[in-house]
Amino acid sequence: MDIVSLVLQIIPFAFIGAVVGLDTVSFPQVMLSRPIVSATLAGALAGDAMAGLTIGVVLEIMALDTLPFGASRYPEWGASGTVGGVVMALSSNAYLTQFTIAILAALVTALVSSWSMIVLRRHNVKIMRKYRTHLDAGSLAAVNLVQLLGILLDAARAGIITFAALFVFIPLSGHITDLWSINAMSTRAVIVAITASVALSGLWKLFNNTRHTIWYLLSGLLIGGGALLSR
Amino acid sequence: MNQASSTPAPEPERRKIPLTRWLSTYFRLFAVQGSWNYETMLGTGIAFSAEPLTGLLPHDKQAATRARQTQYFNAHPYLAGVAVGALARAELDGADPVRIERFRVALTGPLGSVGDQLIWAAWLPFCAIVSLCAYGFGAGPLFTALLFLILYNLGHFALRAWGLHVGLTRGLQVAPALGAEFLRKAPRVISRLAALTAGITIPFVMYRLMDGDMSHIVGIGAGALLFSPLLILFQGKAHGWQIATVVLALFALFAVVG
Repeated sequence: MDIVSLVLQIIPFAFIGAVVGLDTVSFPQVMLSRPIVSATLAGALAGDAMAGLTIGVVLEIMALDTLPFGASRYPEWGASGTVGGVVMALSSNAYLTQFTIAILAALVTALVSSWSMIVLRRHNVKIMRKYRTHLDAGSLAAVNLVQLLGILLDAARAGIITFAALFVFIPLSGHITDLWSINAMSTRAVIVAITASVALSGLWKLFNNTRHTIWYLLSGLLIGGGALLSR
Repeated sequence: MNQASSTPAPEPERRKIPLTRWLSTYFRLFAVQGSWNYETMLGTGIAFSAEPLTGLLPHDKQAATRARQTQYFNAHPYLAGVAVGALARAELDGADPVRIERFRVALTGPLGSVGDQLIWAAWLPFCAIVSLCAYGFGAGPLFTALLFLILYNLGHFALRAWGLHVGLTRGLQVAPALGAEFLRKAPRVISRLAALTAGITIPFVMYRLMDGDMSHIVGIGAGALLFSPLLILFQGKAHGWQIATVVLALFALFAVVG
């Protein structure tokens, strides 16, 4: 695929990444940014909603214990889910191999995107200081400008991250698929085992702080595991 | 008995908030974190969200009010409406600015911790787990994603509306509302429900991710039971997803080079 076609292919997804990335913190926080939504949406737009949902589920499980508490640092799953959903959905001929690459692409994007949010927040401090005199004088125009700039920059941040990640990972995934030497079923089993491990540790972290709640989790596991094995 | 001592003094008539101003404030609250930063945090967002209410003040008081609102403030974003409503009510009632400032500082802690416990630690995981449950039991992409969005935002939109309403109604007396029974008990109840649902759901999600192939499920379960304690040991140093990134990268390297 030549670069122009690749860029044209990526632009709509970068727009989706911008919208769901903006949703993470700035506006409107309706959780379009959660991977189960962002990856499914991106997958659907790339032509395979089920592929998007599949990776969205894996990423959602990994995201369960990364909650956006106050000023803490957390991954930005909006752009990340979009990248994962697109890479996965474009892999019609190598679905299972691509599973690993799509998850890796999403997780690396989450890492970079998390860092970009910190950079943006520091930049927002600079903007706010620049207009501090006007803000202290109660200028309505300054309030609206600072707020609008913050929102626009956040959307641009998420869009650029999504664009860059897809620009790297769409061609790379094709090359890696050609070199992949492990059979499809083993690949899938490794991914699901890693996901299950992250799920259990994440749920432990999430529920171990509330009194007795961990027993509800363990009871549920016994019920769910038993029901599955007895099918 | 003296009639004056038995009859409470009539409350001064409070200014009513026009519906359009209420709605405008409500929708602006969705952008309250638009310029979130490490110095004033929600400060500018509070001024931005409160603007339709600040506009009800006499013109000569608006700038001073707006300037106060842009100072440092932090809260859970969904409960920022409590602060916006209460501060606006105090300003409209002509409360002493020094008292308003003290109240604003006092409100930061409770609004953060109540929202974090209710939303981030309980409601969000619960809704995510319910949608994962739907996936585990065979739901398709549209149903799974919409179930999450609709369920989550029923709580989200309602909480924001409650916050603005209670803030505007109670003004500086809003603190008791934050001790409401549903705010205290809901996180524990929702967490327990989420934990039970998660336990039942996870095996079925793994089963579906394996495309219904039971031959590997026991091995995957055993592997997860062995590997997850290691991840728990590392908690505080690294998140599960970060360790998963490293393990998956090594696996991909092995699959490509091997």
